Amino acid sequence: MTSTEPRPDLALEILEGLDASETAASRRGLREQVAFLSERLRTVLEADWAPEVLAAAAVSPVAERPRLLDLGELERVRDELVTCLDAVRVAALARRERQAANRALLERMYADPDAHRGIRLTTDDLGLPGCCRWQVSPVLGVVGRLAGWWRVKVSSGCP
Amino acid sequence: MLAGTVDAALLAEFGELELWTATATVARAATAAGHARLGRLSGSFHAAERIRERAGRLLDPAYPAFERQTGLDATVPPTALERDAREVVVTGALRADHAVDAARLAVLAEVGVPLMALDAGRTDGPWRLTATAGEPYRDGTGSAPGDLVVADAVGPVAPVVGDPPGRLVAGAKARTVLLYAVRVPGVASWEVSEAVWRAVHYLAAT
Repeated sequence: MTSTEPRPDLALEILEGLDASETAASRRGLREQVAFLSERLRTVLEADWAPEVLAAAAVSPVAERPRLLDLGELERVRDELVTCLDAVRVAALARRERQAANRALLERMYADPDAHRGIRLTTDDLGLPGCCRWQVSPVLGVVGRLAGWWRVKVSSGCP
Repeated sequence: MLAGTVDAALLAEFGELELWTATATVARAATAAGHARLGRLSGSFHAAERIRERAGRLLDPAYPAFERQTGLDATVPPTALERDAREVVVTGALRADHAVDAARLAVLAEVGVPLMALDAGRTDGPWRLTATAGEPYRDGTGSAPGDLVVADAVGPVAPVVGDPPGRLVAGAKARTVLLYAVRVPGVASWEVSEAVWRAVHYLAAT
């Protein structure tokens, strides 16, 4: 962002030490961008709430304590947020693709249980709410195992 | 309840910054009332839903945005109270050690505004939001030039975001506390003043 707005006469000594070329307007503009990106990140996380997606949202802080950031630091915050947003979107996309593949696998498990012995899927694997499990298990225990009788067993859900 | 002052430089930088303060006396009945209130809130507070909606936080989303604007990592709650409060998702109960934290936690759950409390015996008003030139906090903890702080008549007493230095915090034994909350861009002024007002009433057990 560029601005020709003159820097206001700020009373604080700390602001006098900042880079002379920067202006209050450009810092405000960067803060608006940070707020906008922060809101974008929040909506993406809300839509795809999962540990692996949340892990992608972590950034390295610029400061240990809250402070007035200069233009370069604000740009760093903004750029890291953009990178973070990309990483979150990639993680969310990968998660959705994995869930779609698992849904296709579930259909194949139903179609041919014998070829998918022992495979287990959860609602989380499929991107569904709740806590059900689908597992290919033998009918009648050992008898079914020896006879090759397999079926998809659905758990009754949360305890 | 008082609106503290905000340095003109900070207003020029951030715009809608406000500091709301109130001095409250902790009533004897506040501890029991606080625990009872948290018990009621535990049954109606949809913490998991709020954490999902707010990217892992319990506060109004404007606060994490402000944390990023001031250089912090907004994925990590800056206060111990909020970090502990997230455990409600696992435990199912909002818990606090004493009346002051119970009031802060209730306000956090009800309003989504981070409320801080200082021992009123260790700070003297008027309070204001400012940026330090590197002077230490009231208890000797160091600060760096440009740190955004709440300052009293003598000097900095707490960072604008995060827990105050340990010796200034209003603990279980504090009888008179200074409550304060900071309005950041994106939050309505009345919400912040109401958060402080609620806490005053909670501590007065009225």
